[in-house]
Amino acid sequence: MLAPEKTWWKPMGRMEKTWLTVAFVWCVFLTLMMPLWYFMGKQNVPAETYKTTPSQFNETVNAFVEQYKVGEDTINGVTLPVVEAPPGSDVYLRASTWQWYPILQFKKGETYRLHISSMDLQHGFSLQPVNINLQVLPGYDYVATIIPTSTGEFTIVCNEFCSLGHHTMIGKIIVK
Amino acid sequence: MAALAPTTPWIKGAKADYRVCGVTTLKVDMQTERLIIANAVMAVVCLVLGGIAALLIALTRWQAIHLLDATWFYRLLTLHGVDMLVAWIVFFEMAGLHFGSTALLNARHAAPKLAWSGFILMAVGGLMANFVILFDPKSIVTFTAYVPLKAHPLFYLSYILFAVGALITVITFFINLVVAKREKRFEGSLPLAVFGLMTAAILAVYTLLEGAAAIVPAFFWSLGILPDYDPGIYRNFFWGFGHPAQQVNLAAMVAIWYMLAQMTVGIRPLNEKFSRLAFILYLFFINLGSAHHLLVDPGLSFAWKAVNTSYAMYLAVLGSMMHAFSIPAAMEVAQRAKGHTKGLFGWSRNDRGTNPASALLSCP
Repeated sequence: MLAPEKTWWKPMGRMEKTWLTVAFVWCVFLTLMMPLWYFMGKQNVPAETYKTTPSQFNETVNAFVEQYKVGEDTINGVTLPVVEAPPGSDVYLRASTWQWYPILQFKKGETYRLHISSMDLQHGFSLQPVNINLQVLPGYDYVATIIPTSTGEFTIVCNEFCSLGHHTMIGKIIVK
Repeated sequence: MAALAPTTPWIKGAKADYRVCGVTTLKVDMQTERLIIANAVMAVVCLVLGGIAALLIALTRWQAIHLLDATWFYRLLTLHGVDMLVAWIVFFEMAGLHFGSTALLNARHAAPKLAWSGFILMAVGGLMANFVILFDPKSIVTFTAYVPLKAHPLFYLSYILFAVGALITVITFFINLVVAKREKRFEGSLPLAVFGLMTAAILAVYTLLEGAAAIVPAFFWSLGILPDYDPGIYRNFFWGFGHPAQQVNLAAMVAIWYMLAQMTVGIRPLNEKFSRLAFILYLFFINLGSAHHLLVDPGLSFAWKAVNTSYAMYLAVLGSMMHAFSIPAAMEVAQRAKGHTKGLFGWSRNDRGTNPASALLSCP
């Protein structure tokens, strides 16, 4: 292999300068797109997070279900409560191996604060078919402010491996 | 190529133990050659294991066949991740580092015993990981092993042994550079390809240290010594290891690309400053990219995510753009100088198909 000459710090050629400029401008453009999207875009990754514990979050979920339960439905042969809270309120979703609890019901066009946390392992909240994804960690109360824009039934799948029943972990969100 | 006369012994008074490569005319220290072979063979063994797992996984994902049950699917998924994303690439990088720090500098291996101890630790760690995954049902945790999903302590120990072995091998790379310089095997700056490999080696050091920061606490946590391990902190450190492990690979591959272009087409780097600057951009910015694995994590602000996932203004991307320009451009210059001037792209298709090294060169 050839070692470089003693003095290899030489000015760049015209082609190199041009290429570097074009590439750098493209980098700046891509960078500007990120804050631009944050302020102009209609959908962004939430950052609001609170510290919690599995038992504390569990109590909140149970109280929430008791207060706003409107019906029942079954997923994987298990009967789950269907819960609808008034628009603008805090709603809670609990992830545990291998269940999303409860089934949430929303009104189209209204705003809700959706809290998600895990009781045990890491889970992945993945709303299908709209493909909205959030990481769910135990000890972290992750809050997403949401406005449902279309009606229908949506499926929540777990997209983080959470031991061997992972593929059976599905839940439901209903928008009316 | 300024190779020394083949009769010059490596150390004054010592018996010469090297061979001259018939193709490249590089002198290869026999100690190093054995190290390179050992590392490269282990790399390919891991590639084969991971490849077999990949095939069985694919035949399961193919719903018409659906070969494996859930247990075996996730067991082989774990095996595949460890063998492909860690063992295969890191073993091969180590082979490349041994080659780059000796043959490319016309130098001997200065610390073969240390290098062998590094290799043995890596081999024990790699094989142990495979055994634990195959025979312990608790250790089906996928390659990421996200806390609080708890594997057998030996699973974490195998990661640690492998990483320590790799760190030792990287240290021998730096020892070789220093000794080669002292023994005046090369004058002035490092050749560009070795400079690129050095970038990869520096990236490897902090990649492996972040791996230790993630896995060592997980090891103590799995033993019950550490009562609690925050999953968010684990994810941060794990991806500081898991993602840059691929970036070490990238830097090494680009360095090898320069080397192959020099060996097969006979390029001279058009502008050393330009190419070296591109490697330095990798050094400073490429590992920020590991944050894209935390893009939808709780607890991290938009600003943090934007700065990190964009490699601080895409500066590592700029490095790749610069290499993507400078290597083909240097090849064009070299080929045109040799008379391959037909049309706009005549320079790009002369001996493809007859010279295997040229075909390799066009792969990346």
